[in-house]
Amino acid sequence: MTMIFLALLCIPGNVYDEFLERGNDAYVDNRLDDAIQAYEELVASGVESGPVFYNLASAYYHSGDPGRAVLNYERALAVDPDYSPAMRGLESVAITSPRLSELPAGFRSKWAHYFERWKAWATLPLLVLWWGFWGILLLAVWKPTPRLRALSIAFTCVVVLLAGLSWVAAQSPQGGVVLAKESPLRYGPDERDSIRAHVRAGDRVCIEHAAGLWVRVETVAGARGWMRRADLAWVTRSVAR
Amino acid sequence: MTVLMSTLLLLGAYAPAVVPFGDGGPPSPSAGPSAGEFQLAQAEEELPTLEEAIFIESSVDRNTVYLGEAVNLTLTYGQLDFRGIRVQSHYKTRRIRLPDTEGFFAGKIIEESRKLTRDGHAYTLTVYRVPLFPTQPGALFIGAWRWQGTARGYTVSGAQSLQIDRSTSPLTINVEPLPPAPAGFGGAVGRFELDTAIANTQLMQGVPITYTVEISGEGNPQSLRPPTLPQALWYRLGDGTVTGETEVTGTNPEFMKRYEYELMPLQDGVFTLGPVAFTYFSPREKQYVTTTGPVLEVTVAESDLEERLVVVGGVGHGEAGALLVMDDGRLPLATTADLTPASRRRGGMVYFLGIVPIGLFLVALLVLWGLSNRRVSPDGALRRVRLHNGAQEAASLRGVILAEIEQVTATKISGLTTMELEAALSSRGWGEAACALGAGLRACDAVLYGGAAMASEELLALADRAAYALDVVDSRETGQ
Repeated sequence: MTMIFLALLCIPGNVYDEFLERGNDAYVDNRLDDAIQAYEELVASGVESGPVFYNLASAYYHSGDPGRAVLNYERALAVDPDYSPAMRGLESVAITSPRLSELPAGFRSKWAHYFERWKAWATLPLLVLWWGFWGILLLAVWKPTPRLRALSIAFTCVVVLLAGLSWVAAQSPQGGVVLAKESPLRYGPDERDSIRAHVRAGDRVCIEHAAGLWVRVETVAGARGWMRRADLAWVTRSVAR
Repeated sequence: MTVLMSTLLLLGAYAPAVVPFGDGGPPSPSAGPSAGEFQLAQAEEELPTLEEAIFIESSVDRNTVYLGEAVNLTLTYGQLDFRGIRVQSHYKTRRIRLPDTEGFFAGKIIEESRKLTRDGHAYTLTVYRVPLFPTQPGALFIGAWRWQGTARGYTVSGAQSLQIDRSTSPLTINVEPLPPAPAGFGGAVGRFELDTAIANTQLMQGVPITYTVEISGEGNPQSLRPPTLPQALWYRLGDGTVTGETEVTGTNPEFMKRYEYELMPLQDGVFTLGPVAFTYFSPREKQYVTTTGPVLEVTVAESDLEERLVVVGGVGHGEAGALLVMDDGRLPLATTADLTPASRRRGGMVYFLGIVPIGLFLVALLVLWGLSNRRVSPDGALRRVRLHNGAQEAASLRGVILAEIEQVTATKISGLTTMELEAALSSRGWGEAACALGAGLRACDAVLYGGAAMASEELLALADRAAYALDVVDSRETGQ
């Protein structure tokens, strides 16, 4: 019984390794489409790994898709902000197009990255803390002993601190990468609105607001405008968005 | 003898009113006695006066500069070389106080001393030179430089002294903005030269080597940014670190700044490195100049490793995996990765970290609730705790025992002596418990009112006995 359970646990790991090997072999053999397919399947199955995003980006880069190359390099940096191969990959893309070396202000925030990572695994403890805070507060009101009062003050401080951190993290802008070869940036979320500027594949923008099929973004040059949601991808570790 | 002669000769020449300083008008740029006053003094007396003891001057080498270009400010402090005259500054420290230079970045102060003969008198000059780099365009001002102190001399009638307050005129500098900058300009203004070097031109794939870029010349070293180095696929460069910085003093101060980069060869073969370009604005030529370093040819030998794995990220980058270098110039391939799906990784962590705090939280809540409501005592445990706490002092223990008896009997005890209380408990059928409690109370009375001493161990033993007696009675009465 134990052996069967262990075997079940091991199987998925082998599948992921096979996909990575398949992708790497295809990349080495310069079969870039196959490599992209293998890496994309890994990413679609929930693997959030800097090296996988990096390999996928490199495959896109050599297949002539700078938009998706930049997107996946940025995803690799979202997983690990210090992952130097991804930075080097971005520099390689920028060699082909100097425009792509520019980065909007606040596009990559290490602080926000680590906060998000911490928030991901601390969700349940935070919930416990939240309900514990209310429980202790009620107890302190019901039986105002010095011990309960001190505990409720400590809980309040922790909750206020976490709320402050969440607020600060929420202020940091979300990053996006333009995938379409060229996309107009309009004054309003409508095809009839006049065009303010054009963004091109690989351009990194700060996403301010999403409404239906449209997204309001700010470019490197500081130009704000609306573009079609389909022309853009969010820089997130997962592909769920 | 010489001192005596000088003193006698100076007789009458030290009266401050003889050669008054200033007449209420604006201070002159050379804020000492004017030429006319010197001539007058010389005509009347060949010997120096106290007024001539100090002079200060301030000057700049140019009045119109470009933004970031150095203006050399020279501050001269002259002190009369004459025996019998002593000068004392009002400033506590010997450090020079620069005039107000708002809008400028002040460089390193260079100090030098020399001798000067002025109007027939010998002076020791201290000259301070400081390069000022304007940080904003427009008309900028260098404030008045001030010196305050006292000059003293000795005469036959005794010591004479004169308060001296010198200040120079403010200076105006017109700062012109720079023309539109080309790409790659990092803010350097002046005259610069660039040189590059590599520790060895014979490299090994995967073995890092130091690549040095040296910038020297005239200008503000603080405004320099590390030069942008060319990128190529056959190597990767780490961030530049400043490893050497020197400043050469002189009329035109020069400096040298050295940056070192860690270069990691990724591919084997013969390659060229560079050239590194550095763009600055030359005020002499009134235009931007780009200087370039030499192009270096290097040979990278193939690594001994079978699969040519190159550690990424340099020293201290432990999280990076390994890269497989491609022969055809394509980007390297990452060969190792953590392939655990994020949902599985995150879920386990969440539940582990979630369940443990929940358990701890519930236990803490129960303990707090129990302690605050005193509902943990059907077995007398809480009573023992209370009695033991009370046993620190006889008075407290006595109070706690009485309180426990009141709680068990549900009656208020007041006005009874220990003997009366023991008799009342015995009549209630407490028997041995009444004796034990009575003994405890009497022992406490002996300490409180009889001056007896009792060790803490004895108090604890009494508390234990009382607690046991109360437990027995409690269980008996509950059983009833």
